[in-house]
Amino acid sequence: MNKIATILGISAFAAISLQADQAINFSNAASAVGAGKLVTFDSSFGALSGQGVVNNAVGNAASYVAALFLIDGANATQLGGTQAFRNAGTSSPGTWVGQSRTAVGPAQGTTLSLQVRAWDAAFGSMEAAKAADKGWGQSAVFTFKDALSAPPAPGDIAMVNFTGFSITQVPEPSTIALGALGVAGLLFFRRK
Amino acid sequence: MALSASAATSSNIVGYVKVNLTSGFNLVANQLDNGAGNKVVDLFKAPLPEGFTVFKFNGTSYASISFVDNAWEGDDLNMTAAPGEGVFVRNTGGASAVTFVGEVKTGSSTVNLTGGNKFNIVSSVIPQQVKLDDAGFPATEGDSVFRFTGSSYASDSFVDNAWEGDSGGVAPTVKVGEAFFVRNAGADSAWTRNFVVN
Repeated sequence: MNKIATILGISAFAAISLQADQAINFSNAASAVGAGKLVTFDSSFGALSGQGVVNNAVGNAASYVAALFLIDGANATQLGGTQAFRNAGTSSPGTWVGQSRTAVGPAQGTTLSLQVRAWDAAFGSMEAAKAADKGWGQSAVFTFKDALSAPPAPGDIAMVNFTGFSITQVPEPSTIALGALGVAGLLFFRRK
Repeated sequence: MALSASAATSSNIVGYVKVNLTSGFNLVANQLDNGAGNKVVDLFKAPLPEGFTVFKFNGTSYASISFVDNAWEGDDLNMTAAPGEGVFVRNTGGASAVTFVGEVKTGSSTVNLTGGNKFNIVSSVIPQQVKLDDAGFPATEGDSVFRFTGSSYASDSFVDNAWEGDSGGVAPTVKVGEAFFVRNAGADSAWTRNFVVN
């Protein structure tokens, strides 16, 4: 019997170095933080009220982004770039496309104060969207600490204390007018 | 007894994989069958630093064995680290390496993935650096993959039929000797690979 033996020599070099920084799994997907921690439209979005934020929703062509901020007193430092919300039709409305973030400086195990802000993607910041009366919103400030399990667990870097929030806007004049018409109609029928 | 002169050929691949270990935790995989049950006590040989510990995840918690006073002790001295599995190694010494020796599994091999949002530590059965979707990984909606970076995790999720996350919108790539977490959001499933030597 001939035996063909091929010798493999494979080295796996995991260039890993411990860091003092804190990594954060910037995701509000149920698989990361548990169910129900969503970003929703508030009543200013009319028929979308209470639904999870998505891009290009029916009746609302806007797209939205979320960003993570490190809060230190009155200072808010954005950690990394923005993450897009998912498009209409997604199986996970109210969630943004998750990606890790790093808070450079704070050692693992220290408690951080974080906040998630979301806004209309046509604007460069939440403040700009707010000034333009477009969609914006922010979470309550929540604490985060790498749980430092031993052995480490994926859930150690999840934003478990994040709770969902709503985005709001100043309704378009046409929306206000429609609302006013509806109220007037109700009053008219009540008087009859 | 008559001997046949016809060519009866079997093919296999034997070799070694050297996996570097940093000081501290490492999530590693032995991807070669050592032919003797792939017991951790056989794969990680002395000399080892005092307190060197191997943790194996059972779906909810870890069993561990440690190298203390020049001998293994702990929960399960028959603990395995077979191709397709993964273990956490806590290296209490300085940077070093472990060399796994054995045979690459050929034919069809299956890695079970417990569903219901349960975590699994798995590895590619074949010792190759590979993107998971090129390796036939059975991603389902809501699945997440977590790769240990030495101090934290890089994560990717399969949402709306596409990968998203730290790999930049493509399936994560796993390295030789690397194990990783899978959180299977679907039903129990199996990652099957069929490797044939030509």
